[in-house]
Amino acid sequence: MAQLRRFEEQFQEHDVQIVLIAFGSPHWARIFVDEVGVDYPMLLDPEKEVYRAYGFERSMLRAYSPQVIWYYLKAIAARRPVRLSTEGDTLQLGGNVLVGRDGRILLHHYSRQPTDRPSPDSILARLREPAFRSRAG
Amino acid sequence: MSVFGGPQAPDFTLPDYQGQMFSLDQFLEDGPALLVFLRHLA
Repeated sequence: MAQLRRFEEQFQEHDVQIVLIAFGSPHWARIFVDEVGVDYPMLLDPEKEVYRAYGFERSMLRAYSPQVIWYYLKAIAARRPVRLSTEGDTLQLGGNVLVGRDGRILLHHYSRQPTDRPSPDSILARLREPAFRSRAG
Repeated sequence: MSVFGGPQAPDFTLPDYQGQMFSLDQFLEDGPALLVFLRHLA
């Protein structure tokens, strides 16, 4: 999230709307928005229908892979804030999808661990590709 | 794992945490949309 915020101006140059989608309760979402300090729209999909429509699966093996456990152990050791809420589906995975103005998917990234997100540079590079510039709008 | 290019994005209408409804089409009127699907802990 911090990475996205650092590139906010570049995203704005391409008129990109950043939209967060989560499956927690409205109460949890409000806490998340306050803690992280983002003003992007945050939509709630408690039944995870949209997650399924975009191919984001549930997986015990991937949700609690050694890399994920290592990530959280390091975060706790470094005293970084870690949200250990037990609310919601702990096995649900996430990711990022870049959708062009014409509704076509330009990039679909399936996150393997919490920090596995496409870099803002790779998203911006995708938007700059001539073949996709018109689709991106 | 990233997949580049693909089919039409499924449209959706979802509420925000204040109960206001938004659709993908609404966002696309203003430009491309970067949908960030959060997982449980991050």
